[in-house]
Amino acid sequence: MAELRETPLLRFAGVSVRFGSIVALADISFEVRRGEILGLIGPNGAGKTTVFNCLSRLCAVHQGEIEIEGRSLLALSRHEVSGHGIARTFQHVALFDTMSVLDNVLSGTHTRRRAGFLTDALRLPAVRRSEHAARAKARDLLAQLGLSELEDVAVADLPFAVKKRVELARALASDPKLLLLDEPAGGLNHEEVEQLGDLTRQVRERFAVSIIIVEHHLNFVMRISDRVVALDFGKVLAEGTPAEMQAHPEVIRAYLGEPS
Amino acid sequence: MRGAAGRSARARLVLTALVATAALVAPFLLGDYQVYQLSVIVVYIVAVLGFDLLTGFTGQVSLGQGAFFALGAYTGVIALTKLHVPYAATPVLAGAVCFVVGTLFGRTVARLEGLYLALATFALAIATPQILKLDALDAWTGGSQGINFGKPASPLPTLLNDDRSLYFLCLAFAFLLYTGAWNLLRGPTGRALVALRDQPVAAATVGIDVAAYRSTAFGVSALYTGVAGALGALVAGFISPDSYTLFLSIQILVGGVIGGITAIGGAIFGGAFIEIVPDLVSKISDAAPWALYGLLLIVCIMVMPGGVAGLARSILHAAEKSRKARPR
Repeated sequence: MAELRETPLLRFAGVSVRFGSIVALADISFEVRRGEILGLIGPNGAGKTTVFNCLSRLCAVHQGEIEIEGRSLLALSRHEVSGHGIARTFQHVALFDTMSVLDNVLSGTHTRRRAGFLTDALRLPAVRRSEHAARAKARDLLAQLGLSELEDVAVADLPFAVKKRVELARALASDPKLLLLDEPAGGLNHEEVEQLGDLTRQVRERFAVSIIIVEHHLNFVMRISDRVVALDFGKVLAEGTPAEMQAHPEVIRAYLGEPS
Repeated sequence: MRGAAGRSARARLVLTALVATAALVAPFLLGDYQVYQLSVIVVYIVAVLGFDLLTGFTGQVSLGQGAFFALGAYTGVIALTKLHVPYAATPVLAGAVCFVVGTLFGRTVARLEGLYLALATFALAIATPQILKLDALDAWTGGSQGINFGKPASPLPTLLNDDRSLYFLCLAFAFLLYTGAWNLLRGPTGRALVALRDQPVAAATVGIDVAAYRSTAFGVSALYTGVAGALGALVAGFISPDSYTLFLSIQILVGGVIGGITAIGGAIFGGAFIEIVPDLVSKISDAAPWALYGLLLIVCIMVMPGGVAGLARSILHAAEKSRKARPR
């Protein structure tokens, strides 16, 4: 586990983010290796979602560098991030509410296609072909995630847990190398959390992606992660395998409470 | 589900065929003035399409469509009278100029949302008639008198009189632009527009350049409106600044909302509403036509919150449900 065979997929090097006088991230450094599931844990306000927002270029980074496959992520605009292989879901789900399930997933293919106002308005054969291929791909994704029957349903009408699944399908539609899951277990019942664990591992195998999971549900993270990074007050508190983390005195104190 | 989609596609096809037949046959059954009115309806349909693309599908509220309508009209007429461009080509030129100006304006206001954008476009609408009256532009615009150039003559006088030939010119442009909008909205670009309207942050994370799509959508909307303006000028045979006041922008908005801003088929009703209803209410009540108009608007919005298109959609939906409820 510890050996490094290649450039990491993702590298945070001394990243700091401030919102006014509040320090959200202070000199954060960690790496994500290819094919690994990295759990990102920490109490509320520790900076977990800020890490994701840095990766989506939704917040300004004051210091440090973020690299995806050795290239600077900070040189990219928001909409260019998915083209470099980073896709995400949102803590409270951010689907396109007026669209059907299928259209939401099709939107996920946007970054892998060329869409032009004129070529679309003329519906050139190339547009038709690319649309056809995108539909086949989206339907395949829906089938793999057990959403086939829902393809024509407006997403606004779906229960929360299903919405999360649709969001995952949309993220996968962009052929990501790195998948960011923001609290995927939030709002799910015990059984659904179990299924989510299996699903997350399956997704990693089938789509050959690395995954970062931000999650409050500690058991879930410990069960499915290869490595875990613990944040506290915007700093990296500890990093290691789930077993190491569970034995780490700082982590135990910060997250699991004082041993009694 | 597939069956339902197929049936609604069939319903759409039947409806399209009906509208197309009516549009082709009607001018031969009507008198010249009514054909003129029909042309104006088609012009407003194109303008409402432009409004729907921008406000309905992209979520950018515009109170300034009248400004682009005026720009298109003046561009077309100046091209016709000063540059001697063939009249049938003037809407193309007007559309191109409006696309460029609209895109630049859209880029400038891309960061503004909702009411703030509405205010910026309002400024455009309120300024336009006065700019057109400026002495400095008199040589081009004809000042407050405008330009009276007369309706272009029919190229086939034996087949079509002037009003009918202009009507078919309007219809041809409307057909092309309607088909273009339909294709655009069912393809990846249309999805991107709706995505950034629904959820701009998520749209950016799936790779949609929100600012670029917003400004291009503004340009495309201006193109539609500009073509409408140029066609409207040809149909009328004259232009003057006072035809393009803020009230025109509001009427385009009303047409959009009444037709249903998120379904382009609604533009057909919207265009008809703009031309017919003010006339109709003044025939019913001499004393307070606009009070009646206002009342009618309120009733329409209460009865069909999604516009005519929304109403049609829910009727189809209800029919589908009762169909499913029936045992086979």
